[in-house]
Amino acid sequence: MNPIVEVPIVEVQDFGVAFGLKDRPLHAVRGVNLTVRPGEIIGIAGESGSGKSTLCTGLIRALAPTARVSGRVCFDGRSLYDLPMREVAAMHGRDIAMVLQNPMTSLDPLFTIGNQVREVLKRRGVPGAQVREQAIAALKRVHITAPEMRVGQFPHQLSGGMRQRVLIAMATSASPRLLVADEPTSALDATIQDEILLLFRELRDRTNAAVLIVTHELEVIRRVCDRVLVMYAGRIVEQGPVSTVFAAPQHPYTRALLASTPRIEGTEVVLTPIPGQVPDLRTLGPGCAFADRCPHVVDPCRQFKPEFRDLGPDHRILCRLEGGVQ
Amino acid sequence: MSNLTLSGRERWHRMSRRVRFPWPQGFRPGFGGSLALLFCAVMILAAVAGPALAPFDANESDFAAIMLPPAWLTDGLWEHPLGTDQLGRDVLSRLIVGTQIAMIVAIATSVVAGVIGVTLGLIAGYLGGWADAVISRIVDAFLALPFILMALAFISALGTGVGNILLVLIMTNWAPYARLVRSEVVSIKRRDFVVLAQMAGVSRTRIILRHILPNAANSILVLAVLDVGRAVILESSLSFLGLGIQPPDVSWGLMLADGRAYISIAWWLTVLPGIAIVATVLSFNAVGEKLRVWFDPRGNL
Amino acid sequence: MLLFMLKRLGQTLLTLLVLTFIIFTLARMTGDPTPLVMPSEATDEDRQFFREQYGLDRNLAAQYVIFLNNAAHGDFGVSFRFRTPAFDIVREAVGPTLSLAGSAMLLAILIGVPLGCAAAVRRGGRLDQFTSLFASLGQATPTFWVGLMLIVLLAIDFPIFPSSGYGTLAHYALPTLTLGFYASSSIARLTRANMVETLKSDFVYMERVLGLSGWSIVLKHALRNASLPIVTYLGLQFGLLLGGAVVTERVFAWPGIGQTIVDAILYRDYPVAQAAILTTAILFLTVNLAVDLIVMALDPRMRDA
Repeated sequence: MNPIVEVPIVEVQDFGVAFGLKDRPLHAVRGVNLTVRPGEIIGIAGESGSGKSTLCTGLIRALAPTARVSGRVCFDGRSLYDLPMREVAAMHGRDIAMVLQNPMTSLDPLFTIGNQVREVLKRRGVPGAQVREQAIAALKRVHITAPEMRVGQFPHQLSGGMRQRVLIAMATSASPRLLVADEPTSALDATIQDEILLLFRELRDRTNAAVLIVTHELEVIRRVCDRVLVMYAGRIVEQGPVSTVFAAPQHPYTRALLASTPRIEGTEVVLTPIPGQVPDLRTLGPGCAFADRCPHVVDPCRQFKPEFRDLGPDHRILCRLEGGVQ
Repeated sequence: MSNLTLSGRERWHRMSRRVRFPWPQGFRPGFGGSLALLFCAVMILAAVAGPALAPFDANESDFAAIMLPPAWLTDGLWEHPLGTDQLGRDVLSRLIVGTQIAMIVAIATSVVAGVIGVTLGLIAGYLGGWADAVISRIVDAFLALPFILMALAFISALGTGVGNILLVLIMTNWAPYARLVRSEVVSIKRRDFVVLAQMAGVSRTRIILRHILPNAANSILVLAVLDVGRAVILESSLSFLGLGIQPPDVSWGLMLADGRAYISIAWWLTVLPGIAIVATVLSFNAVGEKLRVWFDPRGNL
Repeated sequence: MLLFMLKRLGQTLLTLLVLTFIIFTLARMTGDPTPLVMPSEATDEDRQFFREQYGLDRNLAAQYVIFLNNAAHGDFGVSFRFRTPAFDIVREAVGPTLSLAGSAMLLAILIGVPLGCAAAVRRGGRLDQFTSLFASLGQATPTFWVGLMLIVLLAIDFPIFPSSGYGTLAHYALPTLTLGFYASSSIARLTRANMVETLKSDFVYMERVLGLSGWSIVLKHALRNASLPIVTYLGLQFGLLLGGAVVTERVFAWPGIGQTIVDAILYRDYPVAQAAILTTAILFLTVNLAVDLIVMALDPRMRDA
């Protein structure tokens, strides 16, 4: 961890996102409290539908206009949802950057790579004479081979990994202070994944930016992240340093999630699926959302709201079981 | 009391909350859609009841009452609420009888062209191979010309009149059904349940009728409803050109062609039949759109 | 890409072949044209000579081949009505029709595309509601009635434009408005649909979070991507305009192909009717082919295919 105590770049208090009709809302995210410090790489894990992507896009105010937001998000001390959209848009790309899940569809198919990178650079105020070489430099920074040739190519002529590099080059062209990567490697081959993940580390080391990586692959988090958030049914159920959480997960869901990833024991591949289904967010009862699938469930779990309990430095869970799972 | 200050739409919303019309599950036509459905029903009723509803014989001339304006204007008579034409024929009666022709031609076109097109589309889509190649090329050729030109090509060979116009409209309108059904069948026949039925040894006709056709039925119905509107426009256009319905039969397009000569002195002869066409086509199109949204809510949202 | 182009060309030719067959069959359904063509005082030898010249004495397949061969040379026979080659009559009418369809197309693009874009950007707004009303009305209103109403309004009540005829620029006003009304409503509707779809795509979202300006996203990236299907549609729309021109020309006494076809049918002048219909079909197929090739050239993904 970073020894110097720094001012947090993002502070989130009681954050919630709801979709759908006013009288029948669907709470995709609720009750999130979170602090992100500069230079931190945070991984957000959870099954699909757990609200991890919604949380991330909500944090940078890039949700669909139909989403309804509650709570407070402060970026660099300014409350993001109280600013006029014009100012937020000015922060997008400059202070806040985002990389999307699918590099195949995230570039405009009708313009060359160079054209698109240059447009972003011009928007950042790079003077016209330097735009060309800076575009090539930006591509070089993300380890694109032969960038001079690539600028003349169209997106469909590049591989998925290559495109994701271009997108990262565009997103990080202005040294953002926060980078949100939504499943940045899930659409890529396993061999490319590591190289892309390495780019996030380089960015952090170079600019001290905070990086949020959303993924359903725990392996990704273990390899590159400092801190992990585990989400279930729209809530953060466990958060803590990667070393602590992976060594001794405390929330029953984190345990189940770790056990459900295939691992090799001796000569056999072992995996224990989580029983039951992801709950319907519309029909959640008052108790713990994981209660129906939890092996340690006790009666109060179903009746009362679970509460956050601190287990150590930076480590907390949303579970009523004393001391977590033993 | 306060109802008087509300707009029609708001009043409708209030009312519809109290009285629920028994629409099928999930079908929400809304204010405009309900109005359109109502209008379509009225049109079909007018087509069925036809001359019985008309106050006068549509071809009965009254030389004592030539070119009377609609009743609400000076010189208008309530005996002829929508006025009379250059031969003293009652415009309202002619509009009602014209509705009959328009609806019969349009609905018959949409049904018969639908049956032909669907059959050919099923054959092309399900059999594939040569049958598909031949049918698809013919469909291409039929769609390569604008409907009205294709219709004119057929009219030049067949001649005019109600029967021939019906035949012409059927010949020009079957192709879109065939294209639609073919593409639906091609995608449905790869789905698991059809493959399973085939492996279970279910007969070809049974697979087509029990599994494939019901799955394509929604889009066919939408196309058929939209087709009614298109046929109304086509028929009235041909009649307007003098190549469609011939007197003594009555058609909106024919009324417009007749009224055109008096356009500067008797506006009602050109305005009223036009409004009848627009309102009818608008209603059928609106109903088709609502059906489409009902069957496929995602496609339109 | 060359392969695609050749395939597309082959498809067009095949369609044309089937179409000529349909028109040929329809033409033969009208019976032996000899009595209609030849003056009543013609001798039997003359009639026989005519039959041989047009292959009417041979079987249907041979007749079709002769018909195709003659058509390819622009020979559709002699107009029964004017006693001049049918194709010459049609050729004179092509210019007025193309200039009318072209000006209507231009008007429709100038109205439809901006309207559709604006409606897509502010989805559900007032302009969007207006656009959908405009589109439904445009689909439901027969062109000839629009023409009649425009005559009432702009030629009789407010005599600004001539109500019919051909020649000066002012004569273009009402026919162009009439045809353009229909075309602009469907172009607006299609532009809106494609823009809505494109604005939902990943790269537009990416450009938003990259902080690019809204104008650049909408006009440069989204519109350019949405324009590919729109351009294809414009080709089809051109065909509908040719169809609409048939009726519009009738309303405004415009000396175009539509007028020619209708007159030919009314006077049973079959050679002219066939020549005109086939010429229109060829025009339409050529425009569509050209448009498809343009779209291919605009799309870098197709250039490599």
